[in-house]
Amino acid sequence: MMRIKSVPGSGIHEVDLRALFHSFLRGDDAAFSELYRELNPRLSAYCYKLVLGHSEDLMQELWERVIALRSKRHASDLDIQSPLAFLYRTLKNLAVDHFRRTVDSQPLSEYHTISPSNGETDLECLILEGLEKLPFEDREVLVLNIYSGYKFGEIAEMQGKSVDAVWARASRARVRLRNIVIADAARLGISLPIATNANSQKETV
Amino acid sequence: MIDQEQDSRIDAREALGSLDAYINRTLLRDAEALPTFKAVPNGNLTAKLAITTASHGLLRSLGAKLAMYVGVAAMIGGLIYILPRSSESPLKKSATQPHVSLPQTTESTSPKVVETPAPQTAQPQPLKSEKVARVARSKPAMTLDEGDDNNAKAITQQGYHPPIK
Repeated sequence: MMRIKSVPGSGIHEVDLRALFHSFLRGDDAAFSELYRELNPRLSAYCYKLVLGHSEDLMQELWERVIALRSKRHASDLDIQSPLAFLYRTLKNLAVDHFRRTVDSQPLSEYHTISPSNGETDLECLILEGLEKLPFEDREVLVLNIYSGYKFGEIAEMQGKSVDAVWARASRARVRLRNIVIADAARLGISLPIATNANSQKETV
Repeated sequence: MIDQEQDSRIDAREALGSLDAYINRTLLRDAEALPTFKAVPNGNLTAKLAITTASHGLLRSLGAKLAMYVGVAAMIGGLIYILPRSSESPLKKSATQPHVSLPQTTESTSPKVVETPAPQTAQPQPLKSEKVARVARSKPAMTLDEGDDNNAKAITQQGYHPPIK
């Protein structure tokens, strides 16, 4: 059976994913299990952070669609160059549909509120809330990078952009997040961490 | 004065740097605190996968069987069609009809037609008196009887007789 070899910075990972996907389309059930094991946790994390807890239904729908691909005529002839990009796009479309459905029926302010839990400080809550306030594209890049663990190269492939564009988007998102945190902290009177010496040893005051 | 401004800028940059690091650490900690997502397909997905696999297998086997039956039927049909003809025609011909080379005949383009004049004797023959008397005796003249006085008494004229066979 084919195994996924994730070698950072090389093309082996993607080639194997593609081979797995095609053998799944040709009727190999074991290939589906491999794909699921490799992709479900990472895409679930992306979905969990973006759709805020409704990831299970969307992931179920995503995999059902993937399985339904095999029922199509000439499924084995489908030329999906990048299964990762294909799954990402499908999941994003499902998430957007979900947003459209739920935003109509539920006010956004009630949709998600972050309260301190698991020993989080006020500032940490502020940061996590700030992440939710970011524009979708910015938040998406940060979530794919930090929560799903995808590298900028992989994100670029998923989104069909250049690595530089993704890197620029990520750094812009970080700046925006920092500005949101600073503004909210000033408004709420929460102190920010400062460096006490040139070695940037941090402490909160 | 300038030194103080530079120091404050450096402090601000360090503060921002430390805030960035704090944000990074917070996000990473949040990522680690995410629930563990499944790495094995659930029962529903497994069932759907099994159904598609089974339906594919079924379709394939049905298609293969259908193709096999059609092929066998075509072969049998072909044999039924071909065998009687092949056993009949060439063998019988060779056994019963020895090959004889017939002399070549040439057809005349203008066949001679002999004209014979039609006989001039075909004229109506008058009936003999005996025949007339016998016919008159054997068959009475047909009369119409429809209960109407206006009807003709007889359909024949005097002296007319049906032709004798």
